[in-house]
Amino acid sequence: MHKTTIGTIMSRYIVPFFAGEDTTRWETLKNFIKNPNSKAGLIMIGILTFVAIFAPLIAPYDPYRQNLSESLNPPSLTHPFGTDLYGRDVISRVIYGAWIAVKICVIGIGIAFIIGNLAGALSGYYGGWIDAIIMRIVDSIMSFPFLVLVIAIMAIFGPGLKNLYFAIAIVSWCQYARIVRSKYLSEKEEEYVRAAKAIGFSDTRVIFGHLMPNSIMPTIVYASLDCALVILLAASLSFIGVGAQPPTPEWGAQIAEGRQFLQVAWWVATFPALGIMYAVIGFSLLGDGLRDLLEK
Amino acid sequence: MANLLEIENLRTYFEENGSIVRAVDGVDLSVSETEVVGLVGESGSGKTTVANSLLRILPEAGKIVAGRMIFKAINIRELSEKEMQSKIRGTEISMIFQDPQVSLNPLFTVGEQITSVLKLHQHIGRKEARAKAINLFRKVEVSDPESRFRSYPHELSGGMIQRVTIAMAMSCQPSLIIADEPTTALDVTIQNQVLNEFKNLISEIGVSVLWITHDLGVIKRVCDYVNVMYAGTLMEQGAVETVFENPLHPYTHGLLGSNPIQYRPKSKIPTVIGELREIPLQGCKFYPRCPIRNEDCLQETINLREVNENHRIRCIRAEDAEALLRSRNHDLQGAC
Repeated sequence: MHKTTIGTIMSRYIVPFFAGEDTTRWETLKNFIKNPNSKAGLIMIGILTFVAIFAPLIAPYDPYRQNLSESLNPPSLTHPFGTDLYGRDVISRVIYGAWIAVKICVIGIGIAFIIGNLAGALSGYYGGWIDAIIMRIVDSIMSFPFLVLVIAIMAIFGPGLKNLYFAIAIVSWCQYARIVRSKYLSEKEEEYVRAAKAIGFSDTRVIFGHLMPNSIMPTIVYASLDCALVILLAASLSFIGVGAQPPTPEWGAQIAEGRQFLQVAWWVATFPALGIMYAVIGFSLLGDGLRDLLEK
Repeated sequence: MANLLEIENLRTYFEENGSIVRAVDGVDLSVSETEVVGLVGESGSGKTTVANSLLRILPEAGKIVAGRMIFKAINIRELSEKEMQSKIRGTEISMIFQDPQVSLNPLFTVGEQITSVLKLHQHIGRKEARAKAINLFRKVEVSDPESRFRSYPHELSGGMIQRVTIAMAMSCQPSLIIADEPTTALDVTIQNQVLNEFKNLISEIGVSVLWITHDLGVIKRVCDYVNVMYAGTLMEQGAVETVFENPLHPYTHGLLGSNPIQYRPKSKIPTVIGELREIPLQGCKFYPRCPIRNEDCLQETINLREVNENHRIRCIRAEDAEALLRSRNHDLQGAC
C-alpha cells in the first residue's frame, strides 16, 4: 500500500513536474514568481535559507568562541554587529540563529503538516467514529491557550531545541487537521470522487491520489504563514528560558541575554530581533503570494 | 439470451435526520448480454440511485436494505468492498456520469487519468498504457488524440470530454456500462453526435448498457428495452417498440404525450399534472397524479403484472381506462 502511494506521488507530481511535459504547471509557477508579494517573499526566504545552510562558511567567527577582553564591543569593522557580554561575535550568532530558525520551521511545521494532513484526511473522508476521535483530540489540544500548552509540554520534556520541535508539532498539527478536514468534507461530495470510486480505485488511492492534491493547497498557504508564527513562538519560548538554552545562538535566547544591558549595548538584542523580523516578514509575504495564487 | 444482470426487489433507502426516504423501493429489472436497456423517469424518481446501488457507491446516508443484484451469477450485495474494487468496478461494470466536466479530477490531464485506470486494472506499464489510451481516444473520435492526451479537463469542450469519459468507461472492456444521462449536459448538436458514436461503439464491441435518462427520444433511438420508473418503483417495462406504440400505464402515456415534437409551435403541450411529491404509503404511488384513478388503487400493494409477452405494468386500471386515455389523448398519435 505504501509502495503504491509513494509510486503515485512520484509518477503523478514529481516526475511530470520535472519532466517538463506539463506546460500548465510551469505557467502556474511563472505566475507565482511574477506576483510581487511572492517574489519578495521568495527572495527573502531564499536568502535566509542560503545564509542558514552556509552559516559555517559565511559567519566570520565561531558563534561559541568567547573572548572576554572584547566584551560588549560596539559594532565595528572587525565585528559588524558588535560583541556580546562574553565577547562572542553577534553577527556570527545571528547567522547561526538563521539556521536554527529554518530548522524549527522545517522540522516543527513539517511534522505538524504531515500529521495534520493525514489526520484531517482520515477524519474528513471516513467521518463517523474516526472523525469523532480525531476531532475530540484536536478540540482538547486547542482548548488550551497555545503558549501555555507549549510551556507545559516543554516543562515535561525539559528545555532544549529537540523538544522544542516536538512541542511545536504537537500543538500546531490541529490547525492543519481542521483545514484539511473541512476541505475533504466538501471535496468528497464532488462527482470526480464518486467517479474515481466507480472506476475501481481503492480508498487509499482516492484519498491520496485524488482528494489530497485537491485539498493540500490551503495547508501549504497556512504552513508558510505558520512559519512566521512558529519563529516568533520559538523566540518567545527561548526568551523566557524554556526553549533553546544558552549558549545556543537562538534569536530569542540572544534577545534575552541582551535585554539586561539594552541601554549600554543595544546591538546585542537588536540584531537578533531584526533577524526575527526579517524571517517573519519573508514568510508572511510568501504566504500572501501563495494565497493570491490559490484564490485565482 | 442469457441475463447478464438481474436486479430483484432492490430497495435503497436514505436516512436523513431520522426520517427515511425510499429512493428505490422494489425495483426488478434485467439486462441481457449485448442489450441496451433504458431506465427512464423524471428527476428524483431514483434512477441514479439504482446505478449507485449497483456499484455500491451510495452517499453515506444511503443504504441498500433489501434485494438481490445478480451479476454473472454473483450477488453484488454480498461482495466485500475489496472484491468490488478489484472484480467489479471498472473491470466488469463501469459508469459514465452525467456531467463529464466534474466527473474528472480537475488537477490531472485526461491522459494521466485514463492511463491510471489502465495501469490499475490491467497492470501494464506507462508506455503501453499511453498507447492504449491514445487508441481508445481514436476509437471514440477524440480529435487529435496525442495533444488532447496532455489537456486538462477544463481545456476540453463538453463533447470532447464526454468522449474521454466514454473512453475511460470502456478502457478495461467491461461487460456492462451504466450510462447515467451521458448526453444531458451536452448541447443538442453535440448530443446527437455523441449519441450516434456511442451507439455505434456499443454495437461494435458488444457491451451491455444500462442507459439512464429522462429523455424518451434518446431511449427510442438507442435502447432495446425500456423501464419506466416513478417514485422508486417501475411502472412499466417492455420492449421499446411495444411500450412506445402501445403504452399502457397512465404515467407512460403522460410522458409520451408531453413530447413537444408532435405539436405545432405555440400550442399548449399536455403534461403529467402535479409533482413528484406526495406519495401514498399504500397502493399505487402514482395515484395523486393519475388521470384514471379510483379508490381501488389505494386498497392494496400493486405488483408488476404481465399484460403481453415482455410487457409488464404496475396498474390495475389500465385496461378499463384504455378507452378513456385514448379519447383524452387522441391527438397524440405517433408519439415521438
